[in-house]
Formats: sequence, structure tokens, C-alpha cells
Amino acid sequence: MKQFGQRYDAYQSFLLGCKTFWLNDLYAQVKGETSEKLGRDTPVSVDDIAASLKDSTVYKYYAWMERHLQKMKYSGRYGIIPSHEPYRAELEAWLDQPVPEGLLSLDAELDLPAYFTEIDVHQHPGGTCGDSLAGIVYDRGARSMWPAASKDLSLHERFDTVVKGLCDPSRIVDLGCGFGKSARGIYQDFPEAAVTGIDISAPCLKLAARIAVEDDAGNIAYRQARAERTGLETEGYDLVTSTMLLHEMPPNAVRETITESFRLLEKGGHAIHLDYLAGEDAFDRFIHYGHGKRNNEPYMEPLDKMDLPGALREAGFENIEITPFEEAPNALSADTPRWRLPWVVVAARKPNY
Amino acid sequence: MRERKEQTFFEDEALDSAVGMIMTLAAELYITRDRCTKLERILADKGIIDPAEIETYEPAADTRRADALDRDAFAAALLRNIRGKTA
Ligand SMILES: C[S@@+](CC[C@H](N)C(=O)[O-])C[C@H]1O[C@@H](n2cnc3c(N)ncnc32)[C@H](O)[C@@H]1O
Repeated sequence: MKQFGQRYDAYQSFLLGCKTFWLNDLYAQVKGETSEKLGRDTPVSVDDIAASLKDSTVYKYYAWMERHLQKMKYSGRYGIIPSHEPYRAELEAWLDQPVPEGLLSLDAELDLPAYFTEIDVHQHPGGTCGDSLAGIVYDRGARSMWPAASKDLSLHERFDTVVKGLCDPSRIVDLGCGFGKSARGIYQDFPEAAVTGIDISAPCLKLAARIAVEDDAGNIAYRQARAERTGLETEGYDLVTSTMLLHEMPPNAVRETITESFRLLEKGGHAIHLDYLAGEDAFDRFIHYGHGKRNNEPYMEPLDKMDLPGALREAGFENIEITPFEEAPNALSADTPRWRLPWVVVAARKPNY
Repeated sequence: MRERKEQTFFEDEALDSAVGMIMTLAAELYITRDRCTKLERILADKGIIDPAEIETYEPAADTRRADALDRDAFAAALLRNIRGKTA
């Protein structure tokens, strides 16, 4: 990874310090104010919480920081985007090096969905497809997204452990694999399996392929396609996964992706998705929906509100289970209030008959 | 890059941008602070300075006067903004 110097490091580290304060102190204060105003045991709705915080100065700062700390990470004098500019030609040449036959198949004609190209997802200027360096920028951004997960790839290892508890796959499709963080975990954790990573973003896939070359990985192929229509073989796989994909799609596309997964799976095959669902608690939902709005992730709320088990059942899946997922050690049992994404594993199985 | 209207969170949009400026300045301040600390460490490691000396350093009278003028100019440049005057 490129080094941008001490000033860049100090700036990004300052933002991480601010984010730590935001997710511990500011979050706890907003939560405290809410329960003071509404009482701890009264069942309330998301709207009640919004109304109770309407005039809260702390909540305004909470919201401002949530949006702008992320924006500052990408933009401004020491932001990730401008810091890459001086190295553009060198990085593009590095990405464009030939890769082994079959590792990467790109589709220049692919029709990118408007729901994706119209937003700068998680405030990444231009989105994760918009620029030839978008994959490299996204990789850099993901490393410092949240303090708890900084420089930590173990989230994907934890997911793979859950997967291993459910099945022993040999042909795996990873939908929305991005720059390969999820697929890489899978091809390393399932070395005997053949893994196919699907994504719509060519800049992300090019980076994923470079990383696979450096890993000398022999069991991964990346392919540019939409998760809703992968073009892969019917009943050719025993596991379809996705991590952090579903909340980037509107409900219709989620339904189509579920139907497509069902088509790809052989009988008895598993679909296992890692994503975010806020659960029953109104405050958790209020915070989660607000996060979606402020961080340019507009489909978080619709995903949370849609009937995901119903959509899986309709596609033909059974054994549908949604389980909270612990993204870092003790994340679910922490006794002090702390902001976190509401991770869940959504698992389902194609009937054996 | 597509430009859109930024979201706002305070009643007065001016406060949203003022907080943005404060955060940008705070980031620059932190960068400078970080650089100073590193510089001090390197100088101390090379035996060029004794860090304790920074605390006990007493500038000569004319240096002190120059520092005071510089400080006053800094404060005036900062605070003239709140006078609400054109000049
Ligand atoms: C938040 S990233 C997660 C990437 C990766 N799974 C990981 O865990 O790091 C979501 C990815 O989904 C991709 N994506 C969004 N919509 C898609 C679609 N309709 N089909 C395929 N990929 C899509 C984006 O390009 C992005 O790389």
C-alpha cells in the first residue's frame, strides 16, 4: 500500500480519534438523552425518538460528525482521494498488468444499475465504480472505517467460521465481492473449494485480481456481473455468500438476487449473507436509519423494513435463520453503550428434493 | 465529480459550515502537533536538544518582544472577524 507521509497519517489518525469519541461518548449521550425523555420501559416508535431529539444539540453534533468525519476521510487536503492523485499513472499501470488466464473477466458492456451509479455510496466521491482507482481508494477507506475494525481483517474470518459451522462447500459464489476482501477470506479459509467472486465494479475487481496474483491463489475467479444476473451455471454451486451487499440494493434487486442465488445452488445448497438488520428496538432502528441517510446508504432502511425471510421463502428457500453476528470480540455483550452496525447472518437452504 | 447540496444538521446552515472549518483547523493543528512531537524526539535522540530545555527556555528580551508582537498580530487577525466591519 502506498505511503502518503506523516501528515496524511496524522490527519487520518485525528479522524479516527474523533470517530472514537463519536461512537462512544456522543452515541452514549444521545442514547441517554432519549431514555431520559421517553422513559426506559415505554415502548416507543422511531418517530417518537426523532421527535424527542429534534431540539437536542448533542444529537445535531452527533449527526454532523457521523456524516462529516467520513467525508473528511475521503476529501480535503489530506483525504484519501486527493492523496492518490499524484500516483494515478503508476497505480493504473499496476492495476492494468496482465493476470493469469481465467482469473478476471470484465464486461465493458455491463449495464450498471441506476440505484448504484446515482449515489456516492458511503460518501465515496464518484462511488466504488466511478474511477479507475476506486477499488484502491475503497480498500484504503475500508481499513479505517471503524476504530474497532481498523487494520483488522478478522471480520471476514469470523464470518467464514460461521459458514464452516453450517456447511462444507466445494463450489462457492461470493456476490458483491468488492476488491476481494470477502472472497479472499473465503479462498484462503476454504483452500479446497473453487471460488467465484462477482461484482459490478471493474476497478474493485482489478484490485481483487492483483491481490489474488500476489497471494498466488489458484482457487479464485473474478467476474464482472450483476448479482441479480450472474450468468453463472444453474445448480453449479453448493454455497452462495454475500457480505455487505444486500443493504446496497433496493428491495427489488434484493429479491432478484435471492432468486438468482436459488438458481445457482444445487439441491441442498446454502445461501449465507452477512448484512445489517436493526432488530426490534426503536432506538437502534432510529440510529441505523439515520446512519443510512447520513452516510449515503439509502437502502439500509428499506432492507431493514422488507420481509427478508418472506422473500427467501418465496424464492423456494427453507431453514431460514437470521442470527446476530459478532463482528469483533465481545461486540454483542459490551456493557457500555457504543455505536455499532447491527450485523446479522442470514442463512437459508435450498431444499434437498 | 458530481456536486450536490450538502446535508445540514443545525438550524442555521452557517453553523454547519463553521463546524466544518473548526474541524479542518483542528485536523491541521493535530498534524502540526504530531510533527512537532516527532521533530522534538528526533532532535533529542540525536542529542541536539534536551527536551526539558524547551520547558525552561527563556527567550532574550528582544526575542520576547518580537514574539509578543507576533502573538498580538495573530490574535487581531483572528478576532477582527467578529467586528462585523468592512475594514
Ligand atoms: C460494501 S461492499 C462489500 C464488498 C465485500 N463483500 C467485502 O466484504 O468487503 C459492496 C459491494 O457490492 C457491489 N455491488 C453493489 N451492487 C451490486 C450488484 N447489483 N451486483 C454485484 N455487485 C454489487 C459493490 O460494487 C461493492 O463492491
